[in-house]
Amino acid sequence: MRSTATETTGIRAFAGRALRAILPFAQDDSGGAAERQVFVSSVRVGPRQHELVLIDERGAIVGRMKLAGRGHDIAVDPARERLAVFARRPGYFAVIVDIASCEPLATITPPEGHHFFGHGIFSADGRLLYATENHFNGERSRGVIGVYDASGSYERIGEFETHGMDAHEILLAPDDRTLVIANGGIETHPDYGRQKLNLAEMRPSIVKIDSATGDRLDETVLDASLNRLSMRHMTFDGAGSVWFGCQWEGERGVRPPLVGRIGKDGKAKLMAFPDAVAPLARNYIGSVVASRDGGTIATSSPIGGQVFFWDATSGDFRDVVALPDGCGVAATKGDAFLATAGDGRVMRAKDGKLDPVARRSEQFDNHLGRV
Amino acid sequence: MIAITKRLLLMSPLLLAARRVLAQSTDAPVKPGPSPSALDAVAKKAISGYFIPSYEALRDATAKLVAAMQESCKNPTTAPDDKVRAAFTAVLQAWAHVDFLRFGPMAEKARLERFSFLPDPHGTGARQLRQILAKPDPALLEPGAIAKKSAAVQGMPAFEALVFGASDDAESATYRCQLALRIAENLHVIAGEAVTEWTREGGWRDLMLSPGGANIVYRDASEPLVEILKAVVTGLQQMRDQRLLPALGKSIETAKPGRGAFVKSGESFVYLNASADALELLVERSDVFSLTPDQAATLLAATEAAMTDFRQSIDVGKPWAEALADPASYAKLQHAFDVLKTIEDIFNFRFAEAAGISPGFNALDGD
Repeated sequence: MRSTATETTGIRAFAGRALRAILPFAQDDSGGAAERQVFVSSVRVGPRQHELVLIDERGAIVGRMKLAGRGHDIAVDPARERLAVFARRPGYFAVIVDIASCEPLATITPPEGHHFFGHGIFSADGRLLYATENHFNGERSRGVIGVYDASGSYERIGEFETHGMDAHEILLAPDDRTLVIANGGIETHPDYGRQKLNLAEMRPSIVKIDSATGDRLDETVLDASLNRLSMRHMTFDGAGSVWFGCQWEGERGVRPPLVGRIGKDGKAKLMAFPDAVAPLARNYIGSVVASRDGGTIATSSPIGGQVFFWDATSGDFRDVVALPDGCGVAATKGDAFLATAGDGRVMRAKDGKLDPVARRSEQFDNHLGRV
Repeated sequence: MIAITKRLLLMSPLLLAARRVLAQSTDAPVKPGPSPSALDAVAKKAISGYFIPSYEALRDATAKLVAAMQESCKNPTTAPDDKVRAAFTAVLQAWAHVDFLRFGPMAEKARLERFSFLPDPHGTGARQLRQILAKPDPALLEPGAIAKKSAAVQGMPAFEALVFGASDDAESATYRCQLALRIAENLHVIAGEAVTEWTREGGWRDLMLSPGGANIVYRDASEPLVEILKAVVTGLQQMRDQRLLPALGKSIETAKPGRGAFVKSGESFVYLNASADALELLVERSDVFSLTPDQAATLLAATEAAMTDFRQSIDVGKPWAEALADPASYAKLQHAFDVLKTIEDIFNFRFAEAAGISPGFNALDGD
């Protein structure tokens, strides 16, 4: 299984470097020669068949590549026109892909006793790729960041501790040096599939790591009463603060806050949903994404079938739109977003309104990235 | 050169029109889902034909286990008597009918974990039980005391270890038996609570049968149905990833029979068979395939054939641990593992698509 992680397919008429060359000149719906935007997502195309797709803002496929298993998030290295798609946890491959041709450049696998958690990020200079991993062979599972040489060999050249379990999303801070990692706190071991093994003892955290030294710079934890609130996905707002979204592993009847922001003091401030809105999220947030202007935060709940929007400055809840099985969110321009759903829908979200863009046969997976 | 040609083409009105047609043709058709009344009918049948009777059966089986233990503890022995074993097997089978239902009262107040703390990869239950038995505390034998201890020592695995744990220590036999009796009582209390919370006015049955409005768990008629569909898929995944995979490992050399379910009592295969029975019964009683009339017969036949394949594959004619060490049996168990995937695909893909129901690709199993 591991050796043949990728296989490219046709539909390259639309792809290729030639396409990229012409895209900037294409007509945008809004009129005028706007730059064509390209988004990327893992999709399911049939029973146990998974692909990576590139779509434009109209939902048309501009590139696709088969994956050996279900993908999760995608790290993009725009300067070098490549991306890395990570297998969903417990994941055993990540494929580096040339964006223009949608051809694989390399496949990396985690070392024995490790699996990917589905997220990673390139260093600012593109020389390194950081991947969150589960080191599961020890007494207890622990989160680590695998450091891979992305300059050519794609070999694993080191690792950092994440000082927690279940390291999930990883971001590179605007300083281009600090790594921010959400330790979801849920213990899993691939011998037991995706079963959660430690709910009573969860201790989620968000840590900041110096990418140059691996030192822990900061750690944010929530109140002990919220130890079952797993912090998993994050984004940076326009002011450089980290926003995070959570899934609740406690009682179904409890409605804890699910979205928060980490202040300059390293402390988390949890944002309250209005009472009428709180039940809609089903205690689960999937993606957390800031708008291009940095002023709006979109948080999706595929289980609740909703996308919630927050004012990044005041922290106030702003809007909610219904999108069944919707999880993928990417910023388009200003405070607008593109959102995707497991039933193949592509929607445009702005000002509390959701407009259909396309309905595809591909089922969009959790995360939508922007190339 | 190619780029220039394409750029020119892109600007032509004809190509723009052609692209528009193309874009439309890539839009996936949207199949209308079943009517609310059809969905409602399936939910009703699932509740009255499967969920509630299954919890009632569990409550009744645990009552019999309590009675058998009361009798057995009058004259504690190191090996369990036949009546205790029969009663335990019955509880195990009844438990297999509900242990994959991750919703409703059993999923609240940690009842699932308290009833059966599985999997337990760190051996928490065994460790805590050892500590208890090293210093037997009479206070723990007070009625209700065990329910206040860790979930790992108040349910099925702890009962199994106490009764089938092969300790020949006659001195501790009385204490072990009494503790096992208290655990049996605890199981009966939990199962009873599940029945009450399902059936009382405003309980889970009412919640599931009145979607929409102020109902924050089920917002429309499709959600109880998705819950049922999720239950079937969860049940299949649980058998595969939690009951088989941990023991099978990657190869026969790395198999770990001790990680199976209910190995100490030698009931692993009984449990797996009961789990298969449970899923088949749920599908049959809920009449879930009625939502796709033209495909119902095909899907039911495919499900039954795969379930038969599964049962035949786990029928290896050897005890669990021996089977995992025997290449032919191991291969059969691996096949059983794969068959569960096939069945999962029937529900996740074939049925969902035929019925126009989206169980939720992202919503089903978060990350």
